[in-house]
Parts: sequence; structure tokens; C-alpha cells
Amino acid sequence: MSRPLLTLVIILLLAAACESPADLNLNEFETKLAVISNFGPDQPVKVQISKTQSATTGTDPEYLEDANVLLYRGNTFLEILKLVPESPTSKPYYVTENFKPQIGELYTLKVDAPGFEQVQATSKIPTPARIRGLGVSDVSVRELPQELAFAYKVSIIFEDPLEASNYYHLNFYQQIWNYQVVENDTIITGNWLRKIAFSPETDNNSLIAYFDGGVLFDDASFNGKAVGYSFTLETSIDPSKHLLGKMFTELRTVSKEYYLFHNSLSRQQTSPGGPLSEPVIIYNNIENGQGIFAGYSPSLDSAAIFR
Amino acid sequence: MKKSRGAILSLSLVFLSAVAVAQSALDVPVNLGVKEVSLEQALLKLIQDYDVRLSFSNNILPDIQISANFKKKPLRQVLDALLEDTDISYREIGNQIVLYQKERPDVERKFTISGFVEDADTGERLIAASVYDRRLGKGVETNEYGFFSLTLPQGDIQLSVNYLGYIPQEYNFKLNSDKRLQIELNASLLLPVVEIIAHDSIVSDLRSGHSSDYFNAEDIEQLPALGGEPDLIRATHLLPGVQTGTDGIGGIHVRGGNAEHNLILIDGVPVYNALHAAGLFSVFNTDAIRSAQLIKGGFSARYGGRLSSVLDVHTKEGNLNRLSGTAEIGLLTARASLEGPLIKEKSSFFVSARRSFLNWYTRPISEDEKAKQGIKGKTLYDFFDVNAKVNYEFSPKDKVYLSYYQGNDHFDNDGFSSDSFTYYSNRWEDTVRIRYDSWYGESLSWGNTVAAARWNHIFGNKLFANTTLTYSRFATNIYYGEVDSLVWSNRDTTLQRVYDFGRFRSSIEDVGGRMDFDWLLSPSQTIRFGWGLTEHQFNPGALTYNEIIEYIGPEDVQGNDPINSTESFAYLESNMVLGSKFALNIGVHAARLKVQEKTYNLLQPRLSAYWSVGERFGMKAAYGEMAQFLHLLSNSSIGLPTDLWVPATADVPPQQAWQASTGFDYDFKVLELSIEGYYKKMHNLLNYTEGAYFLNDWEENVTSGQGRAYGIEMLLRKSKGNTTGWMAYTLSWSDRRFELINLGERYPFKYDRRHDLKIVLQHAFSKWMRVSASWIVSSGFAVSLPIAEYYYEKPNGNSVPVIDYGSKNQFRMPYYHRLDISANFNFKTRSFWHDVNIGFYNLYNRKNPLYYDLRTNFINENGELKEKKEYVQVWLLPILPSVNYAIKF
Repeated sequence: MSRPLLTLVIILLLAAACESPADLNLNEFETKLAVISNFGPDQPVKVQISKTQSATTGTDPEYLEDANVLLYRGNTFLEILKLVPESPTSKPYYVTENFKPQIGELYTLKVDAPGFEQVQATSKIPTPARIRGLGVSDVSVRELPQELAFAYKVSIIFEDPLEASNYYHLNFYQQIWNYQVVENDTIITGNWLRKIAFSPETDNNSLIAYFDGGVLFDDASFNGKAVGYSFTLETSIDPSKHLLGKMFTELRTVSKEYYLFHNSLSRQQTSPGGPLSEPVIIYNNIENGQGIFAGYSPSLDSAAIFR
Repeated sequence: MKKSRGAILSLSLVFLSAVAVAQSALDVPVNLGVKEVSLEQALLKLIQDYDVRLSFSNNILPDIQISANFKKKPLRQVLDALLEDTDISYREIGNQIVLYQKERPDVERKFTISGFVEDADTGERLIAASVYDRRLGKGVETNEYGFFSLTLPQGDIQLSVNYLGYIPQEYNFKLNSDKRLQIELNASLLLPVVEIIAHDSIVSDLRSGHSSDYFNAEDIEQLPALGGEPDLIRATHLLPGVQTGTDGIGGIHVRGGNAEHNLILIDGVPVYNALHAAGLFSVFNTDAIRSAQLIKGGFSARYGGRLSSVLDVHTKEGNLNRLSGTAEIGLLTARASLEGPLIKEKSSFFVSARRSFLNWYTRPISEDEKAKQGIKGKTLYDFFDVNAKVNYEFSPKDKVYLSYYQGNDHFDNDGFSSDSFTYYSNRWEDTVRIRYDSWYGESLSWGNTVAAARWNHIFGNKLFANTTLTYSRFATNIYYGEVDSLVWSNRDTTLQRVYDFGRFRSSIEDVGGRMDFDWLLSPSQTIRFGWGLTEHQFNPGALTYNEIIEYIGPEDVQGNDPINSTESFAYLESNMVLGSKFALNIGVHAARLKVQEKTYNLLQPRLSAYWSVGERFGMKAAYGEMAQFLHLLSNSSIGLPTDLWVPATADVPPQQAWQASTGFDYDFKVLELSIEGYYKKMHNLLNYTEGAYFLNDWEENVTSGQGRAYGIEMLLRKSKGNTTGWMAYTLSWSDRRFELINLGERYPFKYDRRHDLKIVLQHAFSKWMRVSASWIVSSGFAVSLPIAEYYYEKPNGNSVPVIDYGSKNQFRMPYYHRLDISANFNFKTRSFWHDVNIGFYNLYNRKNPLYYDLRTNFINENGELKEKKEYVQVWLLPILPSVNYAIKF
């Protein structure tokens, strides 16, 4: 059989094949409440509530403004959270007006909304880990067209509490000063913090780069010890406008719920996705719903960067 | 020449008196030159030529053929040589030399019949041929090299030799001494029926408790095939307990095991990737296959290193008697083989090659598709295999084999596009024409190389030894590149050029040796033992890449360091028949791995039993523990050549499993029924942590877990007559549990197909025409699909979607079903055989989904651009006709 004829046969056959819309009956889908709240000590509890939507919906998320959100300490009612309507900088959310949570207490959140089953979740704020030392070393600078690229090593030492398991979210922020030169005088016009993000190429089972900056890790390998970590950070500035400021560190000691949710969320965000890639299952501690209600407690420190 | 038996023949002849007085008759020098005469004739020649006073009863003489050439040797020495290996001795009494039968011990005297069973036409040795004595009903099977040894009581023997597809041979003789036989069987003119279990039911003693199925090349060629390409792995898909993905994608999964849990051997050497085109074809060229055996459970102790199954493939040795060959062409591949003697009856060769010509189709189709998108480029895919083997028989007890296999796949994809735009530049006060050029290219190649040198030696009549040196390598190479450039066309100046080049390499390389011994003590007991050692070198993937803007810098390397390990093993197993009804295989496989200063020692007991309750009814049971020092890490939901083979290390323990099974066989005469239940538990399975970045250090991004599988398999088959076939049904469950997958919860294994039914039917209309059909219907495999989503708002106010998949693999694909048919015609012209095969794969064009993809489209709704998501079902193979033509001489 000649090649053109064979090719024609194959083209004709393949043309009728390959793909078509699938009418999948995803019986599992049922709209639920999605609750998002990460809360720290001595700060109001903020809760965002939306509806989950089918994976095929493709519409903007729908946030709820008619929910009844209640906070409990154990079984003791504390407060009904107040709605803060949508603003240009934020979606609507609910917040405690008077109450601020404390370390070590177990809190329960209950949410009622018309048309939905009540959802609830519990969590507590863990004891913070104390930062015992923070240092910056090995500073190097590379001059690139219109920018200066800095690289430096940050070393942090902290004390891991002697509890069974502890989880952390470590954030680094680079302070950057804005300046102007007016008649040979340098005038500082303000400053801001740039969150440092890490590449997932450094991920492992105990430490992963959080998709929105910083790293998440657990104490599986060092429970109850003074622990030292070193990271090489890179940042760049436009030397005609900016000056490099200090490096700020926030070490969040986080609840297990916080760690599991943000770990899975981060892995899902950096996963290549697609039908041939294995999915990342998102942790969820909202009973009858989706999302996260989790406490954390931060410790802060900063270090100057000397060239 | 036969004399009357039972009479005493006394022959007394007179020596010359001088000689008689001077020395003993046994010291007289004699000449004897005979070729293939009976012992009696040889003795008579001595009497006639030298007047030797020999006295014997021809009743006691064994029926053996003598060839001898003695010159001036003392008679004593000649008699010793002639009577060697017999139970006859001699004594000088006066002037006479009296031959007599040695004193019989109280126990029954036994002798050993040993030798090889061969194809009369080609000289190929036949595996698993049954050799048994009809009189006593005792027998054995030939081993992997066609050798048998059968020890039986002295007396009349009715030796029957059977092999599927061959005309049975029968030998009647009196067994008075050890006997060596070279048995040649002639192939039946009518092609054999497809018999997936080749045991001869008469030799019920030989059955064992393990679950195994035999194939030979003819079996496979009779089955309907994809593209008309007969395929061993695809043939295994038709057996109970064997699962695969859509159209074979993803390899085989035996009794709930992973793809890497199958020990796939070519002439005793492991092959790491047995698939071409992700599973559409296997690496086995049917031309090269002599026989294959799939063992699903209750492994004998001689097998080790995998958890779920053994696919033991033996390639052809080469025709010892004449030159022969085949050439075959189909729609997708072409193949040819040649075999023949190098030294007649001593040495032969076999060589075969196969090449796909998928490029014929992929190139024009891809060029057209890319052209529609404004891209100049192509997509190519091809594969080839080469098998070669030579053997040399140094002596009836020594044979050497050299075998080689190489198979490679190659995929290329590239494209070039160019676009331009023009604008007016105030700075240059001119029209600026900018051209944007973009080129990309990918190349992926992978392949196996396998080589073995083997020496068979027979010690005495009962001990068969096989010494093997092995080499196996599987390697994957990926190259990719991308160049984007902005060119100021007016001035022919490149404004910016960005290069991104990378290559990924991974490989596993083994060098090893092993010695195996079959000690055939008696028909009721065979002992096998052996040992071996393999050095593994793993290069589990390293990416070298350049990402360059305007200048070329040094290459960055990311990936894993090579790991070396040493694996050794020893085993001992005994096959016993207790009484006449109970067969037992008991053994132990001891394995050791030395890696990274850590040593793992694992003892794996194996036991299988078969009880012939009645003439037609038998029960079986097996238990085995298995260990595997290798893991396969897959970075996709289907098996791809980019999957990484990695070893157990100091931190990653070996995989282990145990399996228990029990069942029964019943022979309805026309139909045979086999039902078997199994339970398998697997530990220390390894997988990438959910969401792991697969180029990172694999050891720090994997999670250990466990799996379990259980089910019932049923096989009803008809293997005699013009219409043959089988029906296989499996009801099974299989799941997994990993600490860092699915939040630590148990989930269904992807190939957890609850129901699996396979029906194969064949009908021989005549000697030259045969039609076959196979129909498969299976529960859909388990997958994860996005069910819902919500949004997580980051502190900066931006939101990211959170996809809810529910629990892992909670969704089921629809039932998979497919009907394949084929018709075989064969005829002979002069000295050529012609085979024509016409068939249809997926006859009723069932669109069995390979996967579902959630696609996002944008639609115009009342002048507003809106996002629309929908699931798309992607399937692979529609109805595919096939035409194959083969010529054989």
C-alpha cells in the first residue's frame, strides 16, 4: 500500500477521534460555605465567607454579606462578628469588634447563612517560638543595567517549644527606602516592605516555599531544640530611586491546621496542573464547608544589612 | 539383531593353549571398532574375533547403543568401558569370563532418563514440554533450557513426550541403566489453538499452587492486535488479574500492584521499561519470542526483586538445521528475522529487527496542524528493536549462549514562528519595523539495552547448571530549547535574544551474574538453588540548563547525585510430589542490598501447594513474601519514560509485600474452570509527595506508604476443537495509603477496577483460515477531578483559586470496553509460507476516555467576554483497521 493512501486512511480515522465535550455528572458537587480566617493574638478575628462554586462555573466568587458569624471560646459564646462591606482594597469580611484572641485558648467559629448548613471549625493560637538571634552576612552586590542586585545570607536562631509538634511560617521582608535628590540633597520620601519569595526548587517534605512568600516547615527533625536556619536572599533595587533598608523577619508559630492548609495550598499553586499531573488535595478544617480557620502567633525581629 | 530372550547362551571357545597358560584372559590385548551397535553385538564381536570365553544371558543386557574404538587394549579395560553405566559386572571363573547382573539391593533399582526436548525442524529447545512415563504416570517438565531428568524404576518404559502444537512422541524401551535422550518433536501442521495454560492435564502431579500462564509466539500471533502488531504485553491484558490503562497506556498492573512491581525478564535479564509509546506497544518483537510465562502469585523462590508478577520471556535460539526467516509488514511497523546454523547441529544464530514507521503519519499531520497555527515545524515519533542471539554446543553437556537486545524510542517536536509590527518612532524620526522570531524544539529519547552470556552445563544426569552474566541499561535523554528574539528589521539589528536550553538525563545500569542449579532428584522431587549478584548504578535525573539573556553563561545543573548499590541473593526451593495427589513447592529467597553504608537483609519464604482431589478436580494455595529494592517515581498520572527508577537507600526502605491465594481447577472435559482468590499487602511503597517538584532531590520529596489488593479471578476456557477461547472475570479491590498524599487518608488505587471481563474466541474454519475476536469490559479506573473551587485572598488583596478535588481518586471513569477482531489466512507457495492478517481494533469505535481535561474558553455573551469552563473527554484510539502480510521460509 502506498504511503499517501496509508496517510489518508490514518488522517481520516484520527480526524474523527481525539476529543469531545464530556457531560460529566459530578454528583459530588454541592455548593458549600467557604470560610477563610487566619488569626493571631491580640488582633481582631477576621473571617471571609464565600460560596464554593462548581469547577465548571467560571464566574467570579460570590462573597456572603448576610451570614451570621459567631465566635466561641470552648463552649462559651464570645461575640457575633460584624460585617465589613466590600471596599476597593478588600472583599467583604467579618471581624470581631471587641474581642481579641489569646494564646493557648481553643476557639470555635460557627457560621450560619441562608440556604446553607451551619459550618464550624476550631483552632487555637500556639505558643510563639522566641527568636534568639538574627544576622545578615555575605552581602554581595551585582550591578546590572538600571538595577543593583543584592544577595545576602540570613541566619536565624529560634527556640522550638517542647511540645509534641510545632509548625512554622517564616517570612522575610526587605525594607526599601524611596529617595529623591533635590539640589544635591538626598531626601527620603518613604519606605516600604517587599516580601521575599522562594523558589519551589528548594522544597522538601519538611520545608516548602510558600507561594505568597516565606517558607513553611515543621519541627519533625529538631523537636524541642534551639534551631538555626540559613537562607540566601536576593533582592534588587533601582539605585536611582531606592536605597536598601533593613531586613525584617516574622516567624509565625502556626497551628497544625494553618500548616496543613497553607502547605497544601502552596503545593497546589505551584503544581503544573493539567489532566496528566497528580492533584494536590487541599486540607480543610471547616466542618460541612470548605476553607480554613487557624491560629498563629508571630515573633518579629530585624537586622541591618551592611555592604 | 535380537536373539531369543530367556534362553541362556553359553559360548565356550578354546584359546590357544600357550596364551591361556601364560596370562589371565582379561589381560589379553584386543581391538574393537564398532559404531552404534547393541551391547550384545559388541560382545559377540569380541568372542568372534578373539575366541574370548564370554558367558552371559542376553536377558540381562540393557538396550543401549555402543560406539567404541579400542586398539590393543586389555580385555579388562574394554569390558569396563562397555559395561559402564550398566548394572552388569563380570568375573573370571576358570577359563570363562561370566557377565552377571549386580546384586539387587532390597529397594527397587532406579535409573535416570535425561536429555533435551527439541523442535525437530529448528533444533530449538522446548520449554515446559512434558515428559512422562505412561506406565507409572510419573513425569517432569523440561526446564527453561529444554532439559529434563526423569528417574524411574528399572523396567519397561512407555515414555510420552508432549508439547503444545507438536505431535506427541512415544518411546518404548526397557530401563536397565541411565539413559540419555535427545528428543525431537515435529510441529503439528495445523496451527495450535491458543492455550494460555500449557500444562498437560494428564500430568496432574506437575501442577503447582502458583498462578501462571504460558504463551508462545504462535499464541500471541493468533490474537487480535493493535495495528496488526502481535504483542506479548497486550496478550497479557486478556488474562484475569491483569489491569492496564486505556488502550494499554500505563503498563500492566497485576493483582493491584504497580507497574514497577512486575519483573520483566528477557532471557533472564531484567528490562526496566517494557513499553513503546507509553504502552501502545511493548518492547517484545514477537518474531524473537520462543516462550513466555506470566506468574501472578505464589512465585517460586528462584524469582526475586519484584512484588507482583514475573513475566519471564525466552527468545529464540536460532535454527540449528537450516536457514529460515520471516519478513512482515503492517500499517504501523515492519519486522524481519533470520536464523540458521553457524555450525550444523552445533551452533546457530538468531537475529530480528523491528521498526515503526509512525513518522510516515505524524510528520505530514503535524506539519499541517502547525501550519494552521502559523508555525513551521513537525512532530516525529519512532521506535525500533533489535534482538540477536548465538549459541554453541561444546559438548552434549555444555552449551553457551550470547544474547542481545536493544530498543529505542525517539520523539521530536519543533516549530518556528515569526511575527512583525511597525510603529513610528519620534526618537528615530522613522518607521521602525520590529520582527519577533520564536523557535522551540524538544527531543525525547529512551531505550533499553540488555545483554547476557550464558553457559549451561549438566553435571551427571540430574544436576543442571546455568551460569549467566548480565548487563541491563535503561536511559532517558530529553533536550529542549527555546530562542526568542526581537530584530529591528530596518537596520537588521537584533535588539534582544533570549535562549533557554536544557537537557535532562536519567539512567539505571546493572551489571551482574548468577548461577542457577536444577537438581532433578526424582520425578517427585526437584531441588533448585542458586545465587547471584548485581551492581546497580542509578543516575536518577539531572537537569542541565541555560537561561540566557543576551549573553551565554555557564550551565546550571539541578538534580540528583548518582547512587550505586549492590544487590545479592541466594535461593533454595524444593518441588515435591507427596503421594500421588499432592504437589508442594517450598522455598526461601534471601536478598541483600548494600547501599550508602546501609545493608538490608530480607528473607522471603515461598510456599505453594496443589492437591489433585479427583481426576478432574484440584485445589491450590500459595503464600509468598516478596521484596523489591527498586522504586519507580512517576511524575504524571500515566507512566512515562521520564519516570525515575530509584533504589532503596539508607533513608528509603525497600518495598515489601506478601500475598496469599487459594483456589481450585475443575475440568469439565470440554471446558476447564479455574477460580482463585487472593489477598496482597504491600509496604514501603514510594511515591512523590503530593505536589512535589520532581526535579528536586527525590529522596527529600517522597513519601512511603502501603497498599492492599484482594479479589477473585475466574477463568473458563476451551482449548480443544475448532472453536477455542476463554472467558476471564475478575472482581477486585485495590487501594493505597501514603502519609503525604490525600492528607494521609486511604484512597483507591488508580487501577482499582471493580469488575473486569475478558472474552476471547477463536475459530479455525480450515487449516488456512482462522478468525479470532476479543472483547474487554472493565470498570472505569479511579481519577481525581476538580469538583469545586473557592478563593483565598492574599494579604495584598489579590485572590487565588483553591481547587477542591474531594478525596483523591474519588471519581470513576466510565466503563472501558472494546471489541477487536482479526482473521488470519496462511498458504504455501513453493518453499514460502504466506500469512495475511486483517483486523479491526476497537471495532465499534468506542470512545474510551484516556483522561478528562477542564478547558477554559471565552465566549461573547451580550457583547461581554465571559469565561466558560467545560470538561473535555480525550480518547486515544478510534476504530483502527489493520492489514499485515508476512512471508516465511
